[in-house]
Formats: sequence, structure tokens, C-alpha cells
Amino acid sequence: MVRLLLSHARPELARLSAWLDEQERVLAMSERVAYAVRLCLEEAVANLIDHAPATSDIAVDLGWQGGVMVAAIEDRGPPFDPRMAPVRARPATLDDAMPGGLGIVLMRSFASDIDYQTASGCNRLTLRFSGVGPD
Amino acid sequence: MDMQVAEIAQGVARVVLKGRLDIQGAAKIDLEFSAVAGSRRGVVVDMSEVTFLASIGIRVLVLGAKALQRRGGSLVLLSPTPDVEQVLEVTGITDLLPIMRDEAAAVAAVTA
Repeated sequence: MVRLLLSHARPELARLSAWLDEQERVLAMSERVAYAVRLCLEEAVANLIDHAPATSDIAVDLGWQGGVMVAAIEDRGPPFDPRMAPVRARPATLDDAMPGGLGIVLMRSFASDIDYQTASGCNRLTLRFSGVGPD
Repeated sequence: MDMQVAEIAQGVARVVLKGRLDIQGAAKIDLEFSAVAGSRRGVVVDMSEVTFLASIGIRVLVLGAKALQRRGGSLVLLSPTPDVEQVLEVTGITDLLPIMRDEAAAVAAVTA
């Protein structure tokens, strides 16, 4: 697994994006996997930066495990298990469609599997991408 | 992210977006897109060269559609790539913003 450390600040999302450009090539991801990984990581990290207190850096790990692309995000903020978040209803109006929860919808759809663990003040969100994506 | 605007009918604009509509891309076009949506009665957004769409990009599109809707106008999306369309579909945006494949039909939809 390769690791990127990000400060708890919005401009760091540009650094995450550039790092993903490089890792897509180095790790030889298919376009489908690369899209899903980028989408889930950018949504997850943006959620942490926007909603969690800036208590520590955010670590992003990425690599293949047995033919499955695995991405993990570690932080030391208050625990938040996205698997437990209420399922957002499909928007009926444009007002309903404003983001706030869309990132979790996207992660649930584009990642093949989501795991979350918290221990000793450290939270780890693990996303697996089998290559099938949301189909 | 690059944005080009062309007038295709009275009060109707075709907006061509190119690149990633992620946080950086959304920040780059947000003001100009809002200005276009706030001053037209119809907008066709050509999504065929948008290579990536995140939730922040959806926000830009929805805000534009809301600005148009308030004045009785409308916004349609033209020819998104399959990955981008998947993002629009799973978030339910396709229920609210029509996706069209034919430019003439898209123009007709926002000029009706």
C-alpha cells in the first residue's frame, strides 16, 4: 500500500487529485476502477475536511490486495461510520437534490465493499473496488 | 475544467464543459455558470467532455437549474459519459434534470 498524508484543509484536495493521477498509472488501474476510487476518495476526504474537526492529518492508503483495489482513509476525529448513515431518499425537487449526503450515496454505490473500524481514537474507513463498480 | 458558452437561440445558451467537475473544477466555473443560468431562459449543458463528476459538481448544476426554474426556465444535460451518467443516476439527479443525446431535441426542450 502507498500512503499520502493530507493536512485538514480544502486546498489539500488538489494534492489528493494529483496523487491519484500518478497512482492510477503506477497501479495500472482500469478506467472504471480509477473513476470509482477517485470519486470515493474525494468524497470521503472532502467530508472529513468539511465536517470533522481539524484534529489531525488525514492518511490515505491505496493498493492492490489479491486482485482487489483497496483504499483506506484514516483520521482521528469523532467516529462516523458511513455505513450507519440513513439512506437518503431520491430527491423529488431541486431543493431536495442539494448536496449533503450525496457523497455517502456515491461511496455506497461505487465501492464494492465498505468497512469501518475505530480504535484508540483512530478511525479507518476501508473501501474495496472489485472492478465491477456500481453495475 | 474549461467552460465555453454559445448563444443558440434568444435567451438560450449552450454551455460546453470540459474536464473534471470536481472541487477544483467546480470552483473554477461556479461564478460564470451561475451568471449564465441567472440570465437565460434555457441552458443546454454539453457534458460529453466532462471526464469526472463529484457531488460538488452536482451542486453547481442544481444551483443553475434552480436559478432557471425560479424564472420559468429549464436546464437539460446533453450526452454525459457513462461514468458521469452513473453518478447522476445513483444520486437521483436524472429524475430532475433531463438527459438528452440529441442536441436538437435538447434545444427544443429548453425553448419550448
